[in-house]
Amino acid sequence: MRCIVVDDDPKIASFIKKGLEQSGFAVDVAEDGKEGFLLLSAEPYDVAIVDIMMPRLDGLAMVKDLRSQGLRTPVMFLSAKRAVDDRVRGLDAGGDDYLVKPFAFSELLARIRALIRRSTGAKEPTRLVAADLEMNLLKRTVKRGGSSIDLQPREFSLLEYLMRNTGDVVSKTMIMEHVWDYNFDPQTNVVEASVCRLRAKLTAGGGGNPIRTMRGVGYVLEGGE
Amino acid sequence: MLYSAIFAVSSVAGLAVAYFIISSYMMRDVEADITLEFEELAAVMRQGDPLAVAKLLDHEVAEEGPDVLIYRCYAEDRSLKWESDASAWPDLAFTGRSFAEAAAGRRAFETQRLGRDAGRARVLVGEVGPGEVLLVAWALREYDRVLAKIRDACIVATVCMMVVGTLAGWLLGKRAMTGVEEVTVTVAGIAAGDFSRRVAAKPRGEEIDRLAATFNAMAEKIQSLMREMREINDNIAHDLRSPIARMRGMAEMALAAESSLEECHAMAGNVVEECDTLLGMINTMLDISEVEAGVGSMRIVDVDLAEVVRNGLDLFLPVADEKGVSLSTGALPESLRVHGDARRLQRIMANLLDNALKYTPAGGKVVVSASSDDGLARLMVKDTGAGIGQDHLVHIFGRFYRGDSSRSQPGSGLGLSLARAIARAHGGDITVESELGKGSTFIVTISLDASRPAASSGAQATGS
Repeated sequence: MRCIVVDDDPKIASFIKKGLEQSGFAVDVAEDGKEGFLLLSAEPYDVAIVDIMMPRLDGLAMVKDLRSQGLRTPVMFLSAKRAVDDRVRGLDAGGDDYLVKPFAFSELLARIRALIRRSTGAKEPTRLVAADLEMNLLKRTVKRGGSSIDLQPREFSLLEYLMRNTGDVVSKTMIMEHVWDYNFDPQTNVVEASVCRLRAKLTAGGGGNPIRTMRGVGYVLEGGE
Repeated sequence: MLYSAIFAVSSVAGLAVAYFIISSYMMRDVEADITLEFEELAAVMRQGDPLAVAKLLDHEVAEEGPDVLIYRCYAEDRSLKWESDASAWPDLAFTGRSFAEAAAGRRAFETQRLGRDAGRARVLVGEVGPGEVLLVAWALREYDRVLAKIRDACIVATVCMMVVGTLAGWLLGKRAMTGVEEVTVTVAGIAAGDFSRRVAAKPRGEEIDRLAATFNAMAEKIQSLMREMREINDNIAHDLRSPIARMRGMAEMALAAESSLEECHAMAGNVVEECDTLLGMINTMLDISEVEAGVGSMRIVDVDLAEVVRNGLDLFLPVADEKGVSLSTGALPESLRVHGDARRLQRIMANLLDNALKYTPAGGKVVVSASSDDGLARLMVKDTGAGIGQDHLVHIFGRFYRGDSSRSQPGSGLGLSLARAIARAHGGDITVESELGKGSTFIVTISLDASRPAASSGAQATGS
């Protein structure tokens, strides 16, 4: 997987680059919007990580220009601004996701993996399969090893999200955003409790625990057996 | 002083105008009388009977008095042909103007001084026939006397008005100025740093009293804000510094030569956790400031409060189950439409549920209900938890407040503070009823339309 990091802060760029390289990415770094624009126009990348506040050409303008040129590469914006308006502006400019600094590296990794997966995905599936779990999105039913499992609507949405990202770690924040549409982190561990409940239901009829906890990072639904 | 001057000038002007109007009306009367006499005599003179003329002269002069009325007849060469009794008029003489006018066929009035002690007279000169110029003079003694009296009265009135006006103006000005000056002095005191200064409440006149009252209210607000800021600074200093101190300590330990790789890993992990805690606090503080900045920072949309409650319960139900606490709804309408900031209302719900679950032990109950009336929506979270002591109740919504029993729990103590800021920004407030050992009930009121908070809410608190 090829990734480009466009950020004028060398410390942040280097720590992202190191982290991504350790996770198997090939990483290029651009120091400002102009350089980023040139590189993204010339080379194919699987994902771009773009800082918004940069000299010469800021991230929003750079992505706007690239999009108008027809660039389809998924873009993750990084910014110190948290306000909803800033997020919206980022998404309007052509970004696919928006992460606020400071962020957990694992969060960044999980999100860009989700972005890549989304961009390579074909049309909307009607069924999701992971190991012995089978989910019918039209009928809203779940089966494990052939036998039906009864899930509450929210539990279904949580399992759906995990299954759509099979094999990739999803962070608690990502789960809060996608499953509950909350963009803050409550003090009590509501995500952990919900995942526990889901696990209990999934393992009630036998079988191992399909949802693995990655401490400090998030959760992952195992794909293969 | 300016007002006194204006008042004085206008009163003098008014009286002067009155005086001149009166004098001109009086003079017109005199001139009318003179004209009448002139016409009468002229008519008789034209008849050509000198005896009749003499008879009329004597009659008129006798009637008015020789010191009031005099007639003279001049020839073309200005020599005196005849005159009536002139004993009272030794110096009567004429300027060329009247004669010239008379010769031209016009009549002319003028005023003449008649001798040193005789006063002034109004004189009419006109041509009666060829070679006959008639002069009628009427003494203005009476006229002058009356006018003098009027003039004196006007002067006295003017002086009185000026004195009273100036005095009143000065007194009123002094009272007003004193009020304003007091405010100015008090402001200077506050600007120098003494926030306890207030304007003394003496009745000074409606406008100044309003100014003083408004000013005092503002000073009170400034003082309480300063107090709050100082308090917050003290708390921030502690609560923000502690994680930083811990991180620093751990990093230093990791730097120590004897630390093994595992120990370093553990330290690094802890540093990351502390960073997250710190970041959470900073973010919440920023949220509070943003919310307190007012309606401008909110995105007002249609929100179903009943839905917010149901979503909140949905989120926290697993946690409640794990803890063994029953979480349910009480009286909740199908839908409760309000106009507000959806995310922030979500936040209040989450904060209150978080709080309730944190302090309610296993076997307890948390019940959420909502209602609306009188332009306000009401949200209630009732728990059977540890309860809050009466002396703590007043503090729990302050920033960074953590009761002693809760110091060991995770969380920054800002949750309730943020919830209150959000409720207030929606034209409402948060209150709590609690009993130690029994439980607490948190009541959130918000205006049904946050872009136009209900006037009847009365929940805009001025203090903390």
